[in-house]
Amino acid sequence: MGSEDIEQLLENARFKHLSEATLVSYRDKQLDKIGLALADAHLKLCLICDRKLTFLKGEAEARESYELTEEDHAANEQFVRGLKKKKDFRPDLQKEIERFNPYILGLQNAWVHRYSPEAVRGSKKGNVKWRYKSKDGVLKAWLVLETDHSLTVHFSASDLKWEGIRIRFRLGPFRKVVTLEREGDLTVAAKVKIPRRSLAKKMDDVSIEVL
Amino acid sequence: MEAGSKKNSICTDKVDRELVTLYRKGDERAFVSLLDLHIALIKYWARVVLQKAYWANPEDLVQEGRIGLWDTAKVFDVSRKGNFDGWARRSCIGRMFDSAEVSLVKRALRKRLKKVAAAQDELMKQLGRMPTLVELAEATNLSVEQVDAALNALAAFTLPIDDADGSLANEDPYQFQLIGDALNQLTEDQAEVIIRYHFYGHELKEIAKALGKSNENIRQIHKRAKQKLRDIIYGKGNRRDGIRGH
Repeated sequence: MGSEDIEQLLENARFKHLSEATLVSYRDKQLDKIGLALADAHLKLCLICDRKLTFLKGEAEARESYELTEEDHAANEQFVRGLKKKKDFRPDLQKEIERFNPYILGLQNAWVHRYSPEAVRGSKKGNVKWRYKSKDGVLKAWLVLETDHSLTVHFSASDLKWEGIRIRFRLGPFRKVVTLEREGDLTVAAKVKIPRRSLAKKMDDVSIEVL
Repeated sequence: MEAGSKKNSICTDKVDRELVTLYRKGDERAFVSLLDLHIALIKYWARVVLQKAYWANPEDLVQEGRIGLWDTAKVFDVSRKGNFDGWARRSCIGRMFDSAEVSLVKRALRKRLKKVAAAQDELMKQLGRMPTLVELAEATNLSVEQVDAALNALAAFTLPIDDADGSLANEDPYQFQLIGDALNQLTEDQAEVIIRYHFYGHELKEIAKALGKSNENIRQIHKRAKQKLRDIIYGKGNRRDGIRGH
């Protein structure tokens, strides 16, 4: 951005859509004078943001006027009772997610650092194209180019406490959320199949996050 | 939270965080309270979704919204800055939109939404004003009703649709913040001139008249303001030619 001219930046800025957070601040009158002027300038131009704001105002009005009924409260209680019965009711999961996070970060960094597109293009189909193993060997991941030219990313971990953790995977425009599920007595695993048409040109444009 | 006559007032982020923390420690009643506080939000967005997917079961959508709120309560980082409401809204709408009955709409609308969004962005730049529905209809070869419906869907479902294919990339919250912060470091006159000229498309002459200053004075203020913004945003010494000074 260093050499980009300020004129160009200002010219483009008025056409940039407002984020939901900015629109909420605008709705709640929490923007300062300058923020308000910038948001107003865009809202005068943009039908989409103007309508988004209308929806958000509708939400605020609905919440303001809503009266919680006995039925609502009972249904909410029932929902929570239902969660308790579910196998995946795990208030402790957050702690496990925090422990799992550095592993996934390590995997993502390794992918970006090491992965080369040629490894896929030049190899036979149906083979493992890349393997990753965390330093302590707990998390493993590998890529397989299938015979139909789709790519499958496999995640496998030897810590059963990670069962139920959800991973959001993105490669270029392709996105998918998967959940680590028990696979035998020793591992939890998940896989993401990326159809051929969704394969990114830049294979290092990847993000792997824990939800 | 007790049910009954209590008004579901806009809950504060602080209360949300406290309830999430309690829930994570195993207090299930805290999550019931969180649901009580957000049920109006969930029902509102369920109604919005129903406008597009009228065949969906309203109760199922509300249930999806509850699951969305639960997802947020599980992963929301209470120690960091960030509005719980915003996360909850995105998660609830996302869950409703991804439910089996509604996801059909997403697939059917995606192409049309992309087309309308692209045409809106293009016309907004070309015309320097908000395009009318008729102009958008002409630009997209759709009827006015179709454009109107697509705009509503775009406004309500932007996030899930974005997640699916990144179609609305013309949004940059950081740039808004960056420019807002930079403008706040200018003098009042400098900020006023920059906003009027660059964001409202006023001529320097008009600005001079509105602020009761001479044309030359406004021209100087504008020039200095741009230089100052350049220094703030790109760092001192970054000249127009991109050569970094010392």
